[in-house]
Amino acid sequence: MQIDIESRPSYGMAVVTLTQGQSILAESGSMVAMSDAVTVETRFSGTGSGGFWGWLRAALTSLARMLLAGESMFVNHFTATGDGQQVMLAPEMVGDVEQIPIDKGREITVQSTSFLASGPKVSVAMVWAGLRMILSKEGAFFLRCSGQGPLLINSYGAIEKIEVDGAYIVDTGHLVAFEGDLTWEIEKVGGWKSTLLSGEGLVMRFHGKGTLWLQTRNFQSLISWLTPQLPQ
Amino acid sequence: MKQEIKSKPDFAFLSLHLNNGEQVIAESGSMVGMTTELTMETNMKGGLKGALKRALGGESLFMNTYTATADNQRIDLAPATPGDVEHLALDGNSVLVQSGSYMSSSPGIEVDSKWAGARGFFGGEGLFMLRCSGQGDLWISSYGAIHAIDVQGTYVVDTGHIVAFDDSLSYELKSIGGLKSLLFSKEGLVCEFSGQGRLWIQTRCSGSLVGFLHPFRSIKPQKHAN
Amino acid sequence: MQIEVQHSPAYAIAIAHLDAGESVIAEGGAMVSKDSHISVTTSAGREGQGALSGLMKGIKRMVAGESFFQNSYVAEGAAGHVTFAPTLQGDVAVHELRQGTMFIQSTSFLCSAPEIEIDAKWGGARSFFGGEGLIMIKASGSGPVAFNSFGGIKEIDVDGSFIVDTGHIVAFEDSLEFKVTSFGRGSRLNFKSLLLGGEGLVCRFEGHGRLWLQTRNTQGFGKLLGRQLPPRES
Repeated sequence: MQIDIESRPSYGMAVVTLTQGQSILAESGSMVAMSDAVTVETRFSGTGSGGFWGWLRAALTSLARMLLAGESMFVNHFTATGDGQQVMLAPEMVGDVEQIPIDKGREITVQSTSFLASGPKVSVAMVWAGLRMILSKEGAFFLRCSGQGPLLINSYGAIEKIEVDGAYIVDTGHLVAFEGDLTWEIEKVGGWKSTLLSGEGLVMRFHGKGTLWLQTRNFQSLISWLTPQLPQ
Repeated sequence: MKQEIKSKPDFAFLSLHLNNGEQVIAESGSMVGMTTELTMETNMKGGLKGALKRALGGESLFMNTYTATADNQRIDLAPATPGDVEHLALDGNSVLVQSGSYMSSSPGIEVDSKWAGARGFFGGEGLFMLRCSGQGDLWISSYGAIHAIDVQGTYVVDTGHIVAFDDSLSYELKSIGGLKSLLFSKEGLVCEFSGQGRLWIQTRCSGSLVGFLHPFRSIKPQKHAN
Repeated sequence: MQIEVQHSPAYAIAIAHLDAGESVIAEGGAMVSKDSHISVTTSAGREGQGALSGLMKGIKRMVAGESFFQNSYVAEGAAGHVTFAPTLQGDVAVHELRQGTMFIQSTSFLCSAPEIEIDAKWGGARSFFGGEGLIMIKASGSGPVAFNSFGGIKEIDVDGSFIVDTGHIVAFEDSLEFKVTSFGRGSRLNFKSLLLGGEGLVCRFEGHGRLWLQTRNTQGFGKLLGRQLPPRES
């Protein structure tokens, strides 16, 4: 599988070139264009093994993903019927797309609205982000990706990689993804006055050694910028 | 202080490295990430009256001052809008900046929203002009890319595309074409600049985005009189 | 008249360079800035085409979602330039038509030479997007046409067949055959994909010709933001 990302960093689009029989799983609604001969199957985004209970489990985990993580209930499995067939994928929000290879010992945790697509051997599990995250408006769940294969993430804004070695503070609205080895806590920055008035709200303090992917824009700030300009 | 504007003009952001004691003042909500030892203090910039004026324009009342407690501490700042960030070095001169385009500045820059006459610029779009003057660094942001124009003579710009301009320029607000043009051309107010000085415009305008989003907003439920 | 694109690819603008007496036609509301001596007139038709046909063309353009009144910018007495920007962020491309015809998604039309004929009432104009409010307009003649994308522009030279989500179509040459279907028709898909696949309508292009697609889709973006904005009165 060959993945090229075009139109970076503002309107990133992944061009996935597949060999016969290869698949890519993508968020529903993300297909821009594809070769005519690619077959598509829509399945639940949650996981479950075969049989009725497996189906039920998949349906319930998908529902949970939709209600709690804001993800779609469904993913589309695109499979090539011949070599060189392509699928082009893009998110709805303006910004970048980045590819991160997932491997044994390299788990990546992704902010739920930043997940775009993954290879069939990547498992995606919902992870509770802690009570305080609910206050942050970004959603209280993350998606932990493990297994093997490519992972495609998207951002609002450009993606900036920070190599943490020690500690680093990040505004919650700017988090896209981080390596599993990093630990984090949610805290307020400055005193209570700052937390309420600074516009920074809650921040995440990361510890350890690993890569952090940040986005250079924040969706809530965009909404705050637009709101006073809207006519009644 | 070391400054670098990264990712220009696509989702540009400012990456600063401050040395012990150095400070930067920034719009609330603009911090992306920073080293843990930087301290942050929140204040109503310009006192209560200044803050209230900004609140009328929809701006946040507050500014944050970040201070480094040792050398080489990093802080990344980004604006709310998709677009560019530009650095302006002021040396005793003044620049008029559209309120939504002010992002951050060094402590030597005075940011004044007292210039109420300029509210007419945007015809009630919730935006107005700020006067920035003094000595130091100013960082402005835009919706779209920033396009600098050196005016010599006269030049006409749609008001929604104005980011900033040198105080040395004179300006006049007008409608373009005749009455029919005003009603139907969708170009509302334009500003004719004259004199000599620099003008910064942005290649997109928030009014167009607001118009585009209008049909996508839900409609308030109607109240019925009993 | 020459159209130059600057600040590509993220927030591109089109600058029309006019010789004395030359004009350019542009979508109402697209002007960013201009030299003072460029005059603006709002006209519903083109010179020499008579009042009735001008009005009819204007009505068709209104139906297409374009402004009823397009603006004509003329350089009076000296050369000059006028700058245009699209409504949303993204890129601008200029295509030189040579006695040719192309189809452009209505909100992507930015500006063109006055000799180019713009028509929104040809056969498939309204059905193309299945009534989503977007329309394909037809541009024909000779001269430059500038169109914009929401997102980046990707040019595809189709040779065979290719499928594109309709929300991502910017423009295509009329040498291509096209057929709009729901996502799933024509491949081995199940009913679930139709309803839940989330792709909506797709267009299958066949033959040889150029296609311009955009890497973002306005309806998806509008809904995403619209959901988060406060409700309106009406």
